[in-house]
Amino acid sequence: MSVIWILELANEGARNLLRHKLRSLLSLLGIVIGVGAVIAMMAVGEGAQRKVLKDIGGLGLHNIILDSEEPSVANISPASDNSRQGAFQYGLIPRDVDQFRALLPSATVLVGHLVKQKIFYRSTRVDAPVLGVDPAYFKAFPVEILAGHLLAEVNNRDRHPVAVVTEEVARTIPAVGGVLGQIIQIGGNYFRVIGVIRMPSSKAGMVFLPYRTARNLFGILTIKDEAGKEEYTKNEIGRIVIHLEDDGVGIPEAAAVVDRILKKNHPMHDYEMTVPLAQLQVAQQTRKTFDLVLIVIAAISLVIGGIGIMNIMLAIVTERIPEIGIRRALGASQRDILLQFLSETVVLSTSGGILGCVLGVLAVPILSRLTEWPGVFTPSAIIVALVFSWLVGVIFGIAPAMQAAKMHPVDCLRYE
Amino acid sequence: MIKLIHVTKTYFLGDGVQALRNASLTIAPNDYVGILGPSGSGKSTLLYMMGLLDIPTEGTVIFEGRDTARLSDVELSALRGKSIGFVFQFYHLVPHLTVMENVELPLYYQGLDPWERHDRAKVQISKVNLSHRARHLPAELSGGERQRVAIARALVTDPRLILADEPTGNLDSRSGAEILAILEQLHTQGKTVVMITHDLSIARRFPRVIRISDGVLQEGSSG
Ligand SMILES: Nc1ncnc2c1ncn2[C@@H]1O[C@H](COP(=O)(O)OP(=O)(O)OP(=O)(O)O)[C@@H](O)[C@H]1O
Ligand SMILES: [Mg+2]
Repeated sequence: MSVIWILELANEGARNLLRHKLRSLLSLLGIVIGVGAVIAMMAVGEGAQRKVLKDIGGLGLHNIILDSEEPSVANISPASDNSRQGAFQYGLIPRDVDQFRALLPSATVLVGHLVKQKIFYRSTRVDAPVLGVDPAYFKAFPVEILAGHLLAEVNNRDRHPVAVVTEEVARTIPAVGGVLGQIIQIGGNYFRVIGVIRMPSSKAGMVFLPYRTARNLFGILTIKDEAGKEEYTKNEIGRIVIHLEDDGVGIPEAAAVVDRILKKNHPMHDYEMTVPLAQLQVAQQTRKTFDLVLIVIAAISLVIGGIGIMNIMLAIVTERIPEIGIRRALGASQRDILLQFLSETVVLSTSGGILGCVLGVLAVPILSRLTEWPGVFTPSAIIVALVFSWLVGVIFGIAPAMQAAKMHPVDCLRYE
Repeated sequence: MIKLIHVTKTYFLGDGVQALRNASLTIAPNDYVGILGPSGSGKSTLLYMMGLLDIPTEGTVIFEGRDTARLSDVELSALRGKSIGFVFQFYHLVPHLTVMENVELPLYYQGLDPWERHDRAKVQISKVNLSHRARHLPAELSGGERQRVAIARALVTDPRLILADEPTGNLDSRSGAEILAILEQLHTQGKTVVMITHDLSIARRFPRVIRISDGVLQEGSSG
């Protein structure tokens, strides 16, 4: 079995198929579409997976993130009396923080002060959440400094009017020569931008102020002016991040503790709890399901493609009965005939696989645009597709090839 | 060379046809034999039997001292390829292969390299004066030319035995005479030649003629 011999078989198969281009192409349709769909879906699935993992990773897999949430009006029972001085209070409270610290001594509990004010750069409105944080806050997240520096201890202690912005925010500020050193206005106060960072947060990005600056300047009272009627809300703590070390208590256990405390302290459920690690596990489970669905689709389309190929090969064998007789008379054994037709099927199915890969690769940009997920090709996907289309050729080609090989030479010569 | 011993071939279709009945026959090396019989008498069946393409219902076929019933498909195929050259009434060229490729075909099954096949086929094609047609398809040739291609293909493996089934049946007398001349020449070169015909005038040219009717053989001289 030399290389030349294999090449000759493949060449002969290809020539025979090229004599009936349209017919060969039509017989390939099933396998082309099947392989194409699977390749495209795998690329998009992989892209979606990576995006999800990146988003979740940005939240910090060692973190439990708690955000205050203003309950909808329907949730507030008139009997509940947690309004002080006419202001409706909701959200996380210092008692939560104390209890977390007591029950999770190995964890770092970080507090963020959410500032509900509008941001302006000169006359340009910048739409992003503003959070007052301890400098330690940045240690809990994957942060990359793009320009300037992070908030320092001294900024917090002396309540400096400075801000660090994420790249998304920096991009929306139309300052010539970059935002570093520029002054932005938040709710009537002015802040100098001292750092630009890359940190996965919300889509709009985020503005960070020193915690004490934010708390001092903005307080905990928010006045909403809705249709002439002023509404006061009070939120003590906007965000709590519980950062756990590797060797400390596990995330699931900590999450259970946190959940228990919050349920007790917040019967109105005026908070939202995010456990990135749990989200990661959900994402991985989702991916497994997606892969399973993909395998089923692939299997179905390969079987359909294989039947299409087998069908055409049976027709080809019938068409070439006299030729089989001639070849047998000239010294071809049953095995030679078998290999001849089998190689033709394999050439057919493999070209189907290649065309399918091309189709899939071409379809990905379109799918990516529709789904807004990036398409990521894994070379292994293409190799697997080719191996499988090759296998389909062998499996579905064996029956027609056997039929050809088993034919009686004399019957073939007398045929017509 | 070949020995048929009490060979019977029965087709079990409908009432059942006995295409050969208890046929015994010996073909010696360098024999030049004509087989004469009317249509449907079993001539082709006999030829396929000698050419190891068919297996007898009863009886034994001995090819160069070996009982063919004991040979595997691969061994029988190799024997056909190496030792026997077939020429058929309807040429039996592969329609989508060129003259060159048709002539190369038996060498392919002997496992020869492409360039060696090409060289040998080229020589054989020039011997039947068709070098200028080597790249043509069979459909582009005349009947006589096609039969010469078929002869080139039968001879390219340098077989010891040539089996021809009415090779002139589809040709005009001039082309037919050409083919007969080639076969005669092969005989003088030492090959064993067996040719089927239903034409008495052609059969007369053979030193040994076997008559066949209704599957029964009858040895006889020409005339
Ligand atoms: N596959 C088959 N099934 C049934 N009968 C067959 C088959 N092949 C041949 N026969 C019969 O066997 C007999 C001999 O056929 P064969 O082809 O050997 O005749 P022949 O002498 O070569 O005829 P011709 O001169 O027309 O070629 C015929 O009666 C034919 O009908
Ligand atoms: Mg006949």
